[in-house]
Amino acid sequence: MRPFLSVVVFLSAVVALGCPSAAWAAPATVIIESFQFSPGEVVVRPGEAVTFINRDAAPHTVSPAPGAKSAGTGRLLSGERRTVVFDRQGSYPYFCEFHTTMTGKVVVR
Amino acid sequence: MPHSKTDPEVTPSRRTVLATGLLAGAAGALGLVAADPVRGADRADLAILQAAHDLESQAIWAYGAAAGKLSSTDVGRTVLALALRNQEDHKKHRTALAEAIRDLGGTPAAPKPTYDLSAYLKAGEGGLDSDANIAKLALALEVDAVLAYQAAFGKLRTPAIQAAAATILPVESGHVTAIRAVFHTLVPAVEAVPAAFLSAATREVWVLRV
Repeated sequence: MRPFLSVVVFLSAVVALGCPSAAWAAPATVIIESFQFSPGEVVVRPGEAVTFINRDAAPHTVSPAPGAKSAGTGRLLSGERRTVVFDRQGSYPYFCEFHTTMTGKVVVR
Repeated sequence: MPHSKTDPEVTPSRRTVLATGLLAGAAGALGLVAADPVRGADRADLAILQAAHDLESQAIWAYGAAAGKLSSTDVGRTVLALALRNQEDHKKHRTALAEAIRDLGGTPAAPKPTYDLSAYLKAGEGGLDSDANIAKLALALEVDAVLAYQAAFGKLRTPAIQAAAATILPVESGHVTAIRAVFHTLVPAVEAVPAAFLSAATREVWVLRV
């Protein structure tokens, strides 16, 4: 089955099952621009995803702060995006490895 | 984020700062003294200046770390001389940026003991295993500094600071060209200026991979 059809089938199944609206919510998005993560803090539910989009010309990273147990994005070149799923409740601060004054936080609750 | 009250590279003398850059003068001329509360536009500018300041700290650290790994061959000595020359520029940039941050009521972030550049190594945009690869890493960092300054300084909201900050950008581009010129002496096919534009779209043309 082609990927597109797979997605359609999956979405149809979700509709048929009456999945709660939270499952329909588009991934939360954090824009990286002008050396800032915007919004600086995003709140999601367990299992939800956050998409990080680099709109700066320079590369950035979304790297977990020391002690924060979350996945990072690795290097995001200009225009690149990456989605990270946060499974467990908690606070997940992160920063850019290349510009360490850039910080943000994902709160899962 | 930890902050320090003093930056070892920052000269506290206002006279010295004004002699080394226009950034502080621009902020000062606008009456943006540290005693004032940080306003909205200033806060946005502060985030950019802080990141630029941190970028300069990273560059200073990277050149310092690389200097200790270069060989004593002709190539190594050539790269070392250029690295130290570029590092001096970055120190002056950082000094000017630190003073501009203070003039906007902020505190420059303390330089970190080390910076993680593994993403560059992983991407094959330099290495620490040879003089050439060290120079390639420096090149990638300088290219990204240009891209960072292009994007960020254009978004500064204070026109006087924006104009003054723009004086840093050509120097960063000069660093890129200088490094590529060294490669050109070794490999004539490597052009000092490989494209008419230096942007995110042409980044791959300017960076030299391992």
